Amino acid sequence: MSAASTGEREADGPENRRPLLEVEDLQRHFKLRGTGGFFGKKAVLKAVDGITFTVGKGETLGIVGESGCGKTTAARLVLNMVTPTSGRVVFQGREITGLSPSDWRTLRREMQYVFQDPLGALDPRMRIIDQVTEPLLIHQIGAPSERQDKTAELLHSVGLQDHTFGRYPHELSGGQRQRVVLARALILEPQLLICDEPVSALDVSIQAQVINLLGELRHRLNLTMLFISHDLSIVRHICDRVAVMYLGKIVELADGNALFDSPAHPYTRALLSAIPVPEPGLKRERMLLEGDPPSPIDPPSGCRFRTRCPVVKPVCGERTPELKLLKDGQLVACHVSHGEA
Amino acid sequence: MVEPSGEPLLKSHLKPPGEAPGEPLLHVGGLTVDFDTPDGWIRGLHGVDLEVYPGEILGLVGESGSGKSVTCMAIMRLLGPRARVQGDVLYCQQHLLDLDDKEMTRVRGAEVAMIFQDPITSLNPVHTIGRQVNESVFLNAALSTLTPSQTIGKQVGDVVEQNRGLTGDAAREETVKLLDRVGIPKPTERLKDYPHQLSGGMNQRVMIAMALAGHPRLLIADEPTTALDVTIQAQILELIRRLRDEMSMSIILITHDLAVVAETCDNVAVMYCGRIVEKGTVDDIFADPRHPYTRGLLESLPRIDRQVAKLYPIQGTVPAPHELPTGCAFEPRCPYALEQCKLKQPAMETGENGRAIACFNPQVEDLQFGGGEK
Repeated sequence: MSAASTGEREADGPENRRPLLEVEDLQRHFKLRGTGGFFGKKAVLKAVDGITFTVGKGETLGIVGESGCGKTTAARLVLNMVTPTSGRVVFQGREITGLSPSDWRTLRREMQYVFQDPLGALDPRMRIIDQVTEPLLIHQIGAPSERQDKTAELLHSVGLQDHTFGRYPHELSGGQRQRVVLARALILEPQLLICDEPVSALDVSIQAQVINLLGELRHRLNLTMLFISHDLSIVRHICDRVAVMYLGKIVELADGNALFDSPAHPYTRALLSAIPVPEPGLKRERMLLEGDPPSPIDPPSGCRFRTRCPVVKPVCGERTPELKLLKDGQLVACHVSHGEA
Repeated sequence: MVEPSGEPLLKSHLKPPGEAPGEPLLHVGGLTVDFDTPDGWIRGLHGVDLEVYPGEILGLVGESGSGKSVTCMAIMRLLGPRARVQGDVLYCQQHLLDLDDKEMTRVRGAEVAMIFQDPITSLNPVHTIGRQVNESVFLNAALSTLTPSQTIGKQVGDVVEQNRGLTGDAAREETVKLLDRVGIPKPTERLKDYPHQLSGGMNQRVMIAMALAGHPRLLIADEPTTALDVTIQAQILELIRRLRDEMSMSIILITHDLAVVAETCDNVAVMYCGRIVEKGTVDDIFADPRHPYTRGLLESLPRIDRQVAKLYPIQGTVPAPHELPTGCAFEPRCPYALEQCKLKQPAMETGENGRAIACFNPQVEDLQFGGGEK
């Protein structure tokens, strides 16, 4: 086991409380079609390239990063929607990588997924109440009348009123639709909820309603969440711990406040300083990154951030920095932050 | 980044600006837009008044459907035949709504240019209709859109030819200069690239270059950074501010992101349901928001720079354009609504420093999470 996961385990608290979800050195490489010619080697896109993290019971872990950093692939790997190239996913102490489809069917009760686009996730021809009841039917839970009651109760608790129950998705607003999607994910009382950009498609005022709802449900149901977002302000608001990804690797993983108040990785610092704040004239340290992220097909050698890094040292091109403990449970993959350069 | 070229910024073909300093470059008065829909005429814009002064960046902020894009499309006369536009649009003392199509085509691109979040698709159905109808206008008039099937050099070069009358090597030289100005590295080598070979941020730079080809005095940027990652957004906003300084352009920045407004704009107009509800300098509006809707927007925002215990969302949802209440459109969602708010529309009251509010019960208390504190 690498230094990274040991450090993290310590940060998680007592050894006897095993995390709900453990991800170890997970990788997913995609071979690209139409590259490499007839005999040549196909180009490989390393979407997720060896990530290790844990999520404790009742905890919310945020995964942040820019488009193409692999955060969505990471979530899909956990759910086996994408098969890992290598690495392990352990859920409730049981390895779930390579399980049979029938084992997965029962497991899906425990792990639910909320997508960004609620309209795409809902069946346009089904009434709201039927969509939310459907998972109970599929998993054969409860008698028909119990199912109806349970659905109605849950729809109320996500803030939907009776008159919306018989409607179809297109008759609801974006915020209401996302509430329906949440209700449908929660009806099975899952252990783990994976949210992929759950509020990105919503307007600010509606976004705040859904964020508050998520926070409330989380406390009431003691939900464990993996929360994927490009919006760091929302992540700060909702997550206990945060992992920052860059080109398929986790570059920093820390307690939310530590990460936002004293970011240690230069990429985290740049990312935070790029986010505008609704306060005119507020003087903040600005680190404007030059250029675009390099292609994940041919990432830079050594540290992947070195081509845009303002504090780059020669060693960064030679060795890949490991994600290891800097202080107080703050894991950082950077030679410079660790004083090795 | 290469130093900007030191070419003269005054345009010979432009009428000498008739206005004294302090006169607005653009004056919009009582602008209304009605859309012809299968359900009859629906009013999308209910009398918008705004001014844009030389060198100013005005932020037009609001949620989807608030009318911020429709306002700008109406100014540019891009809404097509299914929209009826009324009111005054005065640009340099010219009534844009009265110009014939040929004159308007010259104004677009040469005087006023526009860039979009994404030139091909849009979330707003009103947009899409406008854009479909006006596709030819877009392609002819240097409203920055990129075609996937042509090289960057050809697309920017065409715009340069149309707007500057340059051809051959001169056009090519100007194209390279423009690409350089917007921060595209090694522009000469990029000329043969297609849009799909560039990143989203680079394509947005190309679109800005096309918009600048005619040296416009007013640039309308409709959600120019919404589709981009934050680090790239920071670069593009920096570029927009730099271009304003270098080319003494005025800019209307349409955005849903209040934080972008706070960091980029001088003045801001907040829109709700086809009306401006509050406007003023960015400093005034953010330090002392008065309209309950502006306050609600700010209280809804999670913050990156501090931990906020709870967000205070605005209750309810935005009413559809054909279901607007008789009185103030925000009244059904407003925690401070009075009896008269139900009965009639509050008029815009202008105070000092250009501060204007349309509300019967403006608020002065601190925001619920103390947004003003440092």
